[in-house]
Amino acid sequence: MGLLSSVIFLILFYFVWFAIDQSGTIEGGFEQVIAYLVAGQIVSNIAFVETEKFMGERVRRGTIVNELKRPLSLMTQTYFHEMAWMLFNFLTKAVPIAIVGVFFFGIDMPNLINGLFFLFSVFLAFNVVFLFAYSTSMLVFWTKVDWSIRMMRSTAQSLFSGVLFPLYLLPDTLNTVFNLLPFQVMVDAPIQIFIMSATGTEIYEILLKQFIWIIILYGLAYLAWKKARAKLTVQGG
Amino acid sequence: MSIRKKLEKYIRVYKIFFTAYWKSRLIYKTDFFLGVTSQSINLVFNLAFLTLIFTQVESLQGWTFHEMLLLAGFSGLILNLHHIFGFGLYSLGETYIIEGRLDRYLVRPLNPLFQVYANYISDDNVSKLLVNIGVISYAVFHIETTILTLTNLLYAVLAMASGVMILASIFLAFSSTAFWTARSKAVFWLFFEVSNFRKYPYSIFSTPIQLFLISIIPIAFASFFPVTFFLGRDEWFIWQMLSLIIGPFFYLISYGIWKIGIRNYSSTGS
Repeated sequence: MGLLSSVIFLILFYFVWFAIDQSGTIEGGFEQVIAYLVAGQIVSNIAFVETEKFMGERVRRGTIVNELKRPLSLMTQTYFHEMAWMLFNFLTKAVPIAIVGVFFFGIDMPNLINGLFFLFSVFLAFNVVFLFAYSTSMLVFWTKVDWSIRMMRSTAQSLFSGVLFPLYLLPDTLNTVFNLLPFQVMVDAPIQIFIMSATGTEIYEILLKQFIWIIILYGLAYLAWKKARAKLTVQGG
Repeated sequence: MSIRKKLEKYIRVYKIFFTAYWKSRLIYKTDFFLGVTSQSINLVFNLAFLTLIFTQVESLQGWTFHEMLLLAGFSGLILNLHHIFGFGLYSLGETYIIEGRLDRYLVRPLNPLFQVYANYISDDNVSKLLVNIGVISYAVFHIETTILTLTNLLYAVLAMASGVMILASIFLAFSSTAFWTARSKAVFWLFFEVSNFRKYPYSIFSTPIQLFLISIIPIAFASFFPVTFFLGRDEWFIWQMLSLIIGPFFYLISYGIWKIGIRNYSSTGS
């Protein structure tokens, strides 16, 4: 999502939540929902990388042999390719959205400590998203097409991670389910630090949870690549 | 040639394009089935968001959950109907102008716009269309007022026809910019973002946004106003009637833009 897309998204949901606020009471209030959604746009614009297209193009054209020849693993190469995008998106999208958020939506910025932990948590979220996307993009070795896989992953990702709907408003049972999924640490976790609803040791718990998911998903990505490598057929030449 | 003969010829040619499209599409079966599945899942997830909203409130400015399902379903249906036949314009710049295909269309004795339409069928939208019909049926069954009346059915047919033309006019106007820029995909992001507004009651937005939704991207005529008719909300009466006739009007304006564009068109010379 680009900068203007994020702004239009925020305008739409500003009015939707305003209407919800007028028709009932929102736990934590209207302002907190808006701060949550703005923070969600900041996080997702930085952390939501897509590896399916990178992989799909190379698998279809057979140029993936070039990556495989190099003395670095495919995962490392993809990782730094996506990291460059992440830094680019940080400067060109996330920073402007934060500015728009402060001036037009009137949200509060976190204090210095939470701000720094927030950035670190977003970086961890980027790693979670990367490993998850890398695992699903291994499916490209079987399907040869990437856009449908990417679309399914990113739809699930936006619904369960908190980009579309503040997870703290979920009914208890649903909340438990959402919290057990890896998506929660992609967006909701850093947002909690941003909107200052997590402070002190709660921050460490959030970061620890992100680390645990990184280890689990690294295992998954590694296994997926092993399977995919055995399957690899280079088309043409 | 008489108009009738001309029409017969175009229908015959469309059938040929249509079969050719499906033949080429079904060669890649995995791509086809994955596309269909992912689009349906996408739509269901979008509706799941609506159910999450209604864990917070009973109604959204007087709109119940099932009424909003009807709004999402009916406007989705119009969108899908248009996209199945009209989505080819989305890549007018990239697929037709840059690659020089439009030059071929211009020398054939057929309307070039017709050929762009006929060349692409968005099959992913067929599955979405079926899901949306399911959504509408579910909503109609659960809404307390009777929706299934003869007047409503007649109105629905006309509103859908006019609504499809509204979407076609948006697509035609947006893609015509490619005659000057040689790119069209990029301008559509605005439409794709704003088209999400159709799923929510028009009355929740502020006046500038409301004006935008009836002029530059006039999607309110293909979503909110018709649905208020089914629900018997008379305060929107003028808009409900306007929704039935405004489609052709917008399409004529867009066709004018297309005409100006094609007159200014010079081949990219590939």
